Amino acid sequence: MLFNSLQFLVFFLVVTLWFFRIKSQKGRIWLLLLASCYFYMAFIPVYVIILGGTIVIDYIAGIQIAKKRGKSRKVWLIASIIANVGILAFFKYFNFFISNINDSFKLLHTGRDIPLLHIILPIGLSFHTFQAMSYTIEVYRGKQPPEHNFVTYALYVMFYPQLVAGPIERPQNVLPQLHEYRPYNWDNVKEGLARMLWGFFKKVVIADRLAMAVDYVFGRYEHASALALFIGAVLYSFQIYCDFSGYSDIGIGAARVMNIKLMENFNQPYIARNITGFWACWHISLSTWFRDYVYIPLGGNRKGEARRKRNIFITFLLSGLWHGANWTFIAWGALHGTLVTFFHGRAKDTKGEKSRFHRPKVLLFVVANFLLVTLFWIFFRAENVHKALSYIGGIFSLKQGSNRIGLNATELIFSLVLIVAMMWRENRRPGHFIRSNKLFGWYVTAIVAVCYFFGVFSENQFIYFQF
Amino acid sequence: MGKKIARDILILLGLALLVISNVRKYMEQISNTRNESNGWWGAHHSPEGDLVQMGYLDYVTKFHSLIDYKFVKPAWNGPKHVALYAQGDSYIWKVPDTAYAGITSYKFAWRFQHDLAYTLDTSKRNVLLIEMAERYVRGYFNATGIFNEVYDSAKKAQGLAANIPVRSNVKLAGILPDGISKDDIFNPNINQNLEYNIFNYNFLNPVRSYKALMTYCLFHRASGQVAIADNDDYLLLATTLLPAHGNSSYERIGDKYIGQYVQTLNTIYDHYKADGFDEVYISIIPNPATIVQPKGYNNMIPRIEQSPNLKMKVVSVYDAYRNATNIVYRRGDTHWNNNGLQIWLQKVNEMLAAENHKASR
Repeated sequence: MLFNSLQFLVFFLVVTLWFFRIKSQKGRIWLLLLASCYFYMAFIPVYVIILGGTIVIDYIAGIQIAKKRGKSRKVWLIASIIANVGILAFFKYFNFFISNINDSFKLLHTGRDIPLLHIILPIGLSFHTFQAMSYTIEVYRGKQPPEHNFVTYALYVMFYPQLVAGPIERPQNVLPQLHEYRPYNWDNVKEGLARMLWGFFKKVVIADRLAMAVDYVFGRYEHASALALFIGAVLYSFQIYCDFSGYSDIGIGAARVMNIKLMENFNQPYIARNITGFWACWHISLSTWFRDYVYIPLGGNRKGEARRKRNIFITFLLSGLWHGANWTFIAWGALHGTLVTFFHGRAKDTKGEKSRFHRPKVLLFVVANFLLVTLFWIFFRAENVHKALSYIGGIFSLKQGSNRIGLNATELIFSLVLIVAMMWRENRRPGHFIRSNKLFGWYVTAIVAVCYFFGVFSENQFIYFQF
Repeated sequence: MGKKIARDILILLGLALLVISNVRKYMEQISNTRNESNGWWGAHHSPEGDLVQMGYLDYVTKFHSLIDYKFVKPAWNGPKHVALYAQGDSYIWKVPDTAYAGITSYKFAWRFQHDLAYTLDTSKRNVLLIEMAERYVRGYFNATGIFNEVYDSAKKAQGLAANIPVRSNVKLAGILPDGISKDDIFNPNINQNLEYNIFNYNFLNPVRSYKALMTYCLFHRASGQVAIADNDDYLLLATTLLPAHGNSSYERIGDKYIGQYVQTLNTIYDHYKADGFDEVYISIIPNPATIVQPKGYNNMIPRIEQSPNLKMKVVSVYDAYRNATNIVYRRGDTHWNNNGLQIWLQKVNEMLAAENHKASR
């Protein structure tokens, strides 16, 4: 079920109203779990069995880790990680691995060809797998008591607002909230709805509009001029931001309506002045996951400069691979890893600098950093590394060709105005709480009208769903 | 108290909407009623073209084009031997049997909606015509699902057709009640159905048409599934223009895949020949995009039709359409206009004449 669909809107209305109708927390947990199952099954019903399987394993592992002493704890942790990573590896990376072996066979002229499996990646697998792993790891580390209520634990993994594209939550944040009965709170409802509307605006008015240009340019990049390629790449940067952060806004807002506060996932990444600042503000729940469960266990910065750089690079490489089974994502991760290795520790006042980004020097860094990130996004968007390199080559060789980008001049200008307005609003007024009911009413009316009259409705899937 | 009642009513309404929009049986009943109605609750309908209707371009008159089909009884003096069976789509469902030359009988089934169950009369020359819009070709001829839809009624009854691919809409045996399938719970078209049930009312048309007009005037674009042709003269189905989509005229198709489609057509050909048909024809109607803006076309139709390995006979309109001096499609519709229809009928009637000639020998 897509957030930007009528099905979700009706589903959300029913579930939320029903949620507040129930007077016991137990009943609410059951309702949310059943609703989350339906939400997930709306994609491919049978895959709920896989998700259910990992939930059972991690639930048992969590209890056993807390109960056992000595090596047994580690055995249960490893079993849980193997189960999660194994499922992820099978569904996401098996065919990638086999096709690379087949490519090697072709190079060696062996004439062998291992058949690929006809498997479809369960939606949001990478997200809920990581969220489940964070639970068992935190229990192992003693930072989180095991959850004995199976339904509550299942809901921790399956909670529909963050099930398929995050934020990748931590048990310390969500589980206590699932235990606590919180009565209806109009302020939370207002804040949640305003946040959801902002997410819808970013998705259907900006991201899906930019998608038309991006799809057009990337689909015809061989015939496009350098200018069109450049504009296409820049627009993709904003498309992916509005798409993904819009999703997060809707998810965080939907949870907020039901009095559950999820972690933030974005903090204006495109006004960071260097790559480290960007990563402190982009997909925060994933970055911190890799920091806590990969970078620090690898040794972090504790074993010298060389090891620190190596650890950063490995972390980003894995982050790239997490995004998809394709060399483009690995290249994207490697590029970011290389740059972060260089910049890490040099940018100490990223937040402070962000607030002063109107200064010429800082502005220059912000623009340069944005262009660099944009360049790397090309790998993220392209179908393969060859196409990404051709695309980049087209920009730098100042290629002649068609200047068409799939939008007319009015729509391009309109899109740029929307982007500026969105950036300005997020910079100047990052919160979503509106105290006055009257003002809230006007805000809702205005955003709904803008979304309706200027929204692009073609059931575009969120980009991050594929991961 | 009032708030609680309102809340409960909203919950019930929401649930009812989800259920009704999921279950195909209910949707069929509702759409059968509402599509025919001109009242405020009726569904949006434009006689000016299905793309005009889909895009709510009621206020943009340059794309308006009414149906202008003229069905003339073709001249035929010879004996009639051909029993014509046709499986097709919306292109030919309105074509009456009197428009075909030299046939003794005509049986038509609209693909995906009705099955074509036949009992062949061996004293006649039985001809099967498979007509298909280009955009459906790749999806449909990936497999031999046609065996489930076009079959000998006697053999089907005897269960002899059991060893053929089954429909994707499988009932979860033993779990769901009779008449309810998996798709009635997780209906893939639920969003279209909800849109139909919540917003598609005649009294809302002006708002939606105004939005479409604004989008057209400001951005020179139609919304949703409708796109404007490069020459600005036609509306086109957006999916037929995408660089990567199974319906597209422009997605590159490797020779391997063309070979697979040809192979599937050969399997279908052999199957129906073995079943008693004297001849089997395929007729692919080009996407309007294919003809209107041929630059970059993936040449799927000529590559299939001219494949030396293709056993199935072809009723081709591709070259005739490309060379036509008059326009062959309606400007605001996915279908042909009368010119396009007449070209197709002429080709089919030439085929029927040839089949009658074979029967007379």
